[in-house]
Amino acid sequence: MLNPTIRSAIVPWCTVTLVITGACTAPGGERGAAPEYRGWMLAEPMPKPDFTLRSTDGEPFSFRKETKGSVTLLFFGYTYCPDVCPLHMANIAAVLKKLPPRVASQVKVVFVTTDAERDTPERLRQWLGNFDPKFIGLTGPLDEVNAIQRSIGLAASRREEWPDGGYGMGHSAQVIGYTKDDLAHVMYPFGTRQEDWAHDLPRLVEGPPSG
Amino acid sequence: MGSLGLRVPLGVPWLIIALAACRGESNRAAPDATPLAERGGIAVTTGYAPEPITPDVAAVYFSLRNTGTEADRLLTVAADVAGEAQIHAQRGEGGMMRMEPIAGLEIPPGTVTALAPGGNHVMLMNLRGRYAVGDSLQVHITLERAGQLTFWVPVIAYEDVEAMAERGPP
Repeated sequence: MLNPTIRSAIVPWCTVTLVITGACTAPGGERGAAPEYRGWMLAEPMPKPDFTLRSTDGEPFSFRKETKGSVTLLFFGYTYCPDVCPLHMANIAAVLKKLPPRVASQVKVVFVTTDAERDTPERLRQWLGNFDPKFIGLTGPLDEVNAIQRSIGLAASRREEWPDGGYGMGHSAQVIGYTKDDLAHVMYPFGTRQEDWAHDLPRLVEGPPSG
Repeated sequence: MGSLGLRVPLGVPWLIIALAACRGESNRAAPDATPLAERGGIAVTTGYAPEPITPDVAAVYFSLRNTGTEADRLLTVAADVAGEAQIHAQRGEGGMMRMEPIAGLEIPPGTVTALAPGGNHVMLMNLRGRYAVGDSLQVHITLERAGQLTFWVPVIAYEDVEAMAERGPP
């Protein structure tokens, strides 16, 4: 499923924070039954974190309340990231555009910036709008964002100063997938392909995994 | 657009044909693929740039094959469209992706070194103008042994990057 280059890049960190069962199974599964999801199944489903940050329209956004009962993809990143963040968002947006509207309309995508200093609500809105105007953007102080990340087993983001005066934000690269039961059963590492999203998103909409 | 080095060169159809021959793993172009540029034992086997989302940061990806017997080193990258281009290492550490500028990148002999999505890549900053799908960017790279190579890369949408990284152009 994953490009070998990308796979080697993600292996060191994808094993660290979350206990994962299953694997990056080949499409259709080479052994036994086809896997229900192509994302990585979590050993224990995780509840939605309960936090409130500011949305790009300036209003407080209570994640658990606003996404209650909805299939939700949660990702932490920043707009000055030219690689992992836009690729994840572009892949998800491209697949949502191709899915039947009744499926696509049931998926909420929530992007939390780890770089509120540079990601103003306006900038974040514009950036997300390039992928899909419906994508939800949230901003808040880094310590709050990091507390949220830790609470769901993700590494806290860290500012990396560069010699030229610029900086990057180290960030987790997994998209967490919540089903309508408000639990995360699956996560999607960097390198998740559009055909994998196209396979999994309708199944996330259908309901929580069986068993 | 000429002042930005943004034009579709006459060679593009040929370039596409050449890239089409690179289908396969992103870091392993077919040996008979026509490189985008070649000099001093270094061949640029593939290259592309996603259309930037914001006016200030962008990425460029390309692969270098070292056909020689000694290691070379990628020292600098420049693009006419950007005030600054940095070689960035990206690593997974402690559960996160970390991206940082590096002074150079070793290109071992007999291998193809990919600057690819999710890995080492070139980050463009201080863009001098917007460019879009269908444009091409001129990229200049300097290697310790091979010297300077110049080549054009097509601008593609971020959503088309995965296909380009895995299989070459559609």
